[in-house]
Amino acid sequence: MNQSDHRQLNKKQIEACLTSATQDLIPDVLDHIDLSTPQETVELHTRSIFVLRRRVIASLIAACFCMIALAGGTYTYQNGRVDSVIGIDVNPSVELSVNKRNKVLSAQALNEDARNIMEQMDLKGVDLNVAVNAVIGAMVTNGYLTDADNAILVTVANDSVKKAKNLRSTVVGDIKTALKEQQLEAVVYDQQAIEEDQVKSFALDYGISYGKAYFLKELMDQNSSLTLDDMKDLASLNMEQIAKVITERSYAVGGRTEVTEETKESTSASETTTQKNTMETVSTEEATSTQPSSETESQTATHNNPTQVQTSSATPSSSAEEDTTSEQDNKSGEKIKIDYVDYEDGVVMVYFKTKVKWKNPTVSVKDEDGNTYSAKVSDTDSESCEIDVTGLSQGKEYTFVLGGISPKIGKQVTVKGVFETPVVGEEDSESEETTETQATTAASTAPTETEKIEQSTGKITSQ
Amino acid sequence: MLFMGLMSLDRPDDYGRLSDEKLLIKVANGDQEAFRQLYQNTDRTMYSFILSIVKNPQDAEEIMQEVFLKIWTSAKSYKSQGKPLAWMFTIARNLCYMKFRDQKHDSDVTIDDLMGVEAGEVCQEIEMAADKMVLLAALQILKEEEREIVLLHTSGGLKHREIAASLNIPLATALSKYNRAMKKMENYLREE
Repeated sequence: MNQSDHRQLNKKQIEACLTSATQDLIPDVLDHIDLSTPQETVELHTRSIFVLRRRVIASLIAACFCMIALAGGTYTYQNGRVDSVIGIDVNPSVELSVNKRNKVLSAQALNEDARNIMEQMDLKGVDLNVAVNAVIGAMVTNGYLTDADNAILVTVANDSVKKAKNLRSTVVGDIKTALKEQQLEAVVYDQQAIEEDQVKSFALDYGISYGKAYFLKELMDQNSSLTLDDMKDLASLNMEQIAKVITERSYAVGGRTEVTEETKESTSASETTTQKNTMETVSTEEATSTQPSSETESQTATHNNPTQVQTSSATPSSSAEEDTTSEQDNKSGEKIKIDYVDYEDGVVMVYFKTKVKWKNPTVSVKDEDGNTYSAKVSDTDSESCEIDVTGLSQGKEYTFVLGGISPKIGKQVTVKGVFETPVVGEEDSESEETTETQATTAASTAPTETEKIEQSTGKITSQ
Repeated sequence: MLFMGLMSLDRPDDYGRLSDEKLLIKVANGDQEAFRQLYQNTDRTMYSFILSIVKNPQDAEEIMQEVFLKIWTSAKSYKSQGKPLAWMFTIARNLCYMKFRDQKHDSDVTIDDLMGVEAGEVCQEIEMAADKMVLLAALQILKEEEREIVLLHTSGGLKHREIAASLNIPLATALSKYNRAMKKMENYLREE
């Protein structure tokens, strides 16, 4: 048909065309349909709906199970995970791995003596205090803890310093109770440990527990007179003997190590000291100066980090200058390090190793006796500050505390430093010091880095 | 006995007078004769409907066979609602869409390819040029719903009322859509 025909098509014609066009196309497929194909039964159909529903329900149930499994798994994982490791060293060295809920996950005997006592014990899944009790009990029965001098080292390793601290006191408490029940006394050294490869290899080399190795390393760090050979000797001793050596030679037991003494009179242990960790600020300078009877070990032991110590001889200074070195930590771990401090004619110049910011700076200057002197911050910049102070006398040591200062990045802190006024005409004396601020708390820094607690033979405090 | 005999004799004649609904119920009971009757009653309508969706006579034939087989096998699942055609259309529509999916899945045939194939085949099969042109135009320019309505009315022989019921749309909608589609056709054919 041509186009003119199309133009004439009206609705009726279109309808007719469509009708006739399809009429011819309609196939006859009836014969192709296989009527022998079995018909689906209604039951089948309803079942299919039911199956569908059941499938939905099943998947819901499966989802529920998954969630329960996940929650349970997490719970089990949390419970099965070693949260802290507690080492108990007498001579038998026992290591208890506990989970978050203080349930013992594994109890490991680290030496032959320990294997002897641990053989019959199954401490898995037991509460920590029960386990500690059992271990101490077994040590007593097997004669490792006797009426005579006893020393127990408790080492707690946990990622969280706070948690470790709590756990430590709990364990020490447990041990004390256990000992009391057995009518025994012991010196309980306890420490918090962080994992260090060096210590690990040391422990392996001498076949001692990690806790003991850590203890010895701490001891060496703080008592520079101790050589590696001494360490080897000490490593072969049991805790009781080590304790004896410590008291005999008056070594400093510092850091996290806390030496507690049973209240009953213990002759050999009477000299041991207890230092609370809460003594956040310990200036070694102060410590040594107030303890004139300190042995040489004690005096030199204080410089746990030689790189942070500068002597005045490094700075060419006039006789009227005094250099000191201070170190500052704050809570966030950001440090303000004092490079050195100059004092000249009523002006204290403080130079910082790191850049600092100021906001309403304040300063207070005190002498050893606690007398305060009028002082003000007269000038500040990012690396130093000037403090005007009046009324100081010659040849004395003063402490200053700077406020309103913060590291480039971090919160405001206080910085404490020490300086000495020179005696006119005298050669400048040298002083070295490490100070730490009160802001520094146990929580923020690695135990061994910041807290050095001085023990001296001259002054003994007991808990 | 006589009654039974009458029943058996009357049967073939009877089927011609039965409604699709009743036939479908018989089909559900495995009555092959009822199925044949149902096929004869509805083949035009079903083919028109399928063609309006797939737009291709060859595919339409293939699908029609599948649709009727499906009607046979799943007749028992038909729930009497007075709309047997609607149910059959649903089956047909599903199978058509399944076909589209398969085609899409099987090869990377573009829409243009489909159109080309379709046009070619239509050309071969439709002998009468005018009818062919009109049908092609209808398949090309109308939307799916319009095609359904138009083809069901013209070639399927359904009344507007029946179309509305089977497609579940109001009668007014069916009518207006039909009229609009026809206008479209007229305009299109005039321009060509």
